[in-house]
Amino acid sequence: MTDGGGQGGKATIEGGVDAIVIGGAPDGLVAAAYLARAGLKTVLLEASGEIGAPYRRAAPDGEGALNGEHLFHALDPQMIDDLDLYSCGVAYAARRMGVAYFFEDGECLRLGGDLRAAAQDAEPDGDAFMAFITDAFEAASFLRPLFSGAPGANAAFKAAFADAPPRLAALAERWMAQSAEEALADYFPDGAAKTALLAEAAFRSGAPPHEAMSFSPLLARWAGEVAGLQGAVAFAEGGAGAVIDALRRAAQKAKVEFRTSSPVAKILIEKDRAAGVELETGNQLRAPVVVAAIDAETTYTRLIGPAVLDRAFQQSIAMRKPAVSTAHLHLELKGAPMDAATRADLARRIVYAPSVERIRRAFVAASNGEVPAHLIVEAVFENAFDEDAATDRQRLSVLAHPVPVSLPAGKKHRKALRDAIIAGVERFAPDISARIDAETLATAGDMAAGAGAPTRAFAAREGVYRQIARGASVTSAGSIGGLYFCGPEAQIGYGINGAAGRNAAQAALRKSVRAGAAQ
Amino acid sequence: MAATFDLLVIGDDAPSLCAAAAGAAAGATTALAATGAVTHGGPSVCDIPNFVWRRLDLQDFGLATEPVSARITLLADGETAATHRGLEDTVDALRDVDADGAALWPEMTDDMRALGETGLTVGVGGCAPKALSLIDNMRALADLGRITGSGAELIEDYVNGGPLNAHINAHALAPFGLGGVEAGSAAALPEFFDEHAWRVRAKSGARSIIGALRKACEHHGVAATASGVEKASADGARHNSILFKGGEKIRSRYIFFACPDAAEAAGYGGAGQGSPANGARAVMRIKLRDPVDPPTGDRRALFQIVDEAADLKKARNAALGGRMFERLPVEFEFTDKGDIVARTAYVPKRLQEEGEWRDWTGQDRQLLSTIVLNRLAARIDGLQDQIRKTDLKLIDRANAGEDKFADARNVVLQPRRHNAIAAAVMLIDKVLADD
Repeated sequence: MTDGGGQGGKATIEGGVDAIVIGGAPDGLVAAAYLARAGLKTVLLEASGEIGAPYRRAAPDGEGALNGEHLFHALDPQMIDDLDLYSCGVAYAARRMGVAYFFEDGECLRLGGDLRAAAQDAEPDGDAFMAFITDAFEAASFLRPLFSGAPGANAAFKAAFADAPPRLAALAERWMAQSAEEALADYFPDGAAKTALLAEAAFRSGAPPHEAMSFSPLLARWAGEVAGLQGAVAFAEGGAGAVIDALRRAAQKAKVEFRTSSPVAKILIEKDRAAGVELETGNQLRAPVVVAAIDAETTYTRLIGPAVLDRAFQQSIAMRKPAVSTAHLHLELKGAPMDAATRADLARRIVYAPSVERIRRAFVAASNGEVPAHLIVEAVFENAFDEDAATDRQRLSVLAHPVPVSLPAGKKHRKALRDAIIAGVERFAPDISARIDAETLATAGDMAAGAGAPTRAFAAREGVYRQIARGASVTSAGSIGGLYFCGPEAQIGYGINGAAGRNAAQAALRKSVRAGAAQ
Repeated sequence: MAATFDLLVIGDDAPSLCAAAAGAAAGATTALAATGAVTHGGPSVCDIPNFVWRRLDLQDFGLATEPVSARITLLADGETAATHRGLEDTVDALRDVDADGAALWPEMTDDMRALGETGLTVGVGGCAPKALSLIDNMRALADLGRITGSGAELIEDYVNGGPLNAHINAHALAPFGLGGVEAGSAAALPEFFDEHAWRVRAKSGARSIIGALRKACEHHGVAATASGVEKASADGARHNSILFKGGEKIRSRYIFFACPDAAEAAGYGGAGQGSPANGARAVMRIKLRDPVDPPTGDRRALFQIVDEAADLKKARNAALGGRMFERLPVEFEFTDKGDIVARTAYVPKRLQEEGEWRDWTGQDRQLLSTIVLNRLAARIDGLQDQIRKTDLKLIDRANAGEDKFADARNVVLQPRRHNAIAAAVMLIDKVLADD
């Protein structure tokens, strides 16, 4: 069902709804599915004409999803089970992807998907790599509750921290505060493994690897689990679009009512409680539970307004001046047919890891609004995972980091960014320029425009401590009863995860049960 | 058999001397190793708090201090901003130049001191003790969010632009070489507002602070060792064996650095903590033929030269990129003899030329001297004519050799702090209490 009414006519007030979810992003779908499965009549309102936008932009050939999320680092396992997502269509073409790091000097480091096993064989840094990976995975696993954003997880973690072996507690505390360069310097004097790991720590992070707390994003990533494997990277069949489709199916199965083209103008607050929403058409939809799955600034500043929120809360959710972001370039390549061996070799994550100095300079340039000369590039040959795909065409999905949050207007700046990304790609595919048949570049600004959100909502995330602090604040919803939040700020780290949507829905259901019991 | 100590403190600066004396006064057998490097080089040190003073009976060693008269920032176009130790004095001084700032200063001072009392002492780019163990508390989380953020943003929460904004940026962030945008740089603010961060100087005619602290160390039984560590490594289950360059050898349970400068000078590989990577520091002593009039007429103030707040970020980026920055932030003060000691924390560790990294040359040092002198001369009338001799020292230069402490255990390094003496003595107490 879609909502078109109200415009030019008399505004209506609609009731009989238990829960409203604002935003058809993955966490919105997750929250809606949970609420509906619990028996709440749930309506999901999406501003655009399509669920999952901007996570679902058509590729030039009309297939697949260009959303900047071509891989999965952490997909909430409990959500997968609870929503039975495997039966809704989630399938992995690669569960534990290998990785090939390319360096400035043309050297390449290839690692298997199980980092702990791969570390053992990594030459010439095997021992150091093994010691580092063992410590890092242990610390990441220990810190996992902290990164979950679940209510009560912090208190549980505090108890676990008090009882933890002293070495583990000290290591976790130190690594949460250290720069990536400092953390790695304790294990590696230099070398390919160190360069690769520094690039990993800096990739998609707002914190340059020489700055304090810049190691923690890597720990947060390695704390995640996808397809039952900690720290793994997976490629879903059909890409991220297929996962969103699966989430949509799960929500549909639970009888969520979708209303696209229904932008919300206001969240109705009555007596310090959410009472529903007012659409831009002027129509009101009333419900005792409202879940916001859009960015915090839009939720609190635009849809609720500062008059209802105290100053300390506004200060705590403010996210100002993001420094850098990640750009996505999708390439359609024509070229020689792929044989099975080539396809197998391409079926991995490919990373161009510039030197430490280059990465530092890239962060400086990007934060000054300039396109860096060298970018960290992560690329995936998407149809290398598809045995039925045409063999004489390739689809290459590329993420490049760090790039300016806002590019100045004009084609020349976009071209400069595009050329810098291609320069990174050419480190592992030297002949690529001649083979490009079609391409699509998406910056943070493009993605924000697609979502109707401020650009900063698509900027690289700041340090993990700040994310934890902000996450706790935004999910507290400014103490407005009946309002729950699962926008991007509720999640620690990047990528599609789903835990924030589950947390918001479960919090709403707990409160509903309590309220029901009290009545 | 090598002499065995509970604690070896390495460093020549006031925090190191206080830490060594405090350790000895607390009953730990303590040795002190000089690094032979200039790790401070100015007449003022951060405040020596009462609890340190009482514990070490510092008055018995001729120590007599007075606070620097003001923190003054010399901005572009002759503009200045000043704050004083007393709240009311600052409000009075600001009232005429920045009424909004005058109104907000007490609130900011209260807020920052409250933030400092949370225990979330992130240290500037260093460690975050207690952060994880406090993480369940909503108030602590909100504070954690603020303290782990950007210093420039935290300042803007109170003072949006103008001379006072630049002044706080300059005095709170510039001593650490911070640009203000770094995660965790906000941690410098609560410390900056800590009363023990206010710098003090020896009273005119009194013994130098360093001299008095050395006497205190002697009195409390701190053993002076040779200087120059050759190698420190774990020895047995609890101790380290420390070999000095002259061949002397001692054993110590803990090795303690009260500031990253001392650690760097001693060859500790982890000394990069607490300062932006690749950022070095420079101290320049300028001897004058005849005294010059200080800016604003205040000879016992602590000055910062910063054209505008945004220059800190630019200077830091230049240092990280291996370049000199023309509008270099420079801190300076006058000695009792009328000489000038200037410092800057925005110096590249190595320089970059045509994409290649290289070490400092004599020409580079000359260029840096010229930049510093130009910055001073633009603010101090008649300075160029009175310069008799200059001496530039670079600190924190990249360790070319191996980490001499790589095989040691229980090495404690305090990050760079505004209130370094109070923090060092409290850290020593913690180390000894945990033992």
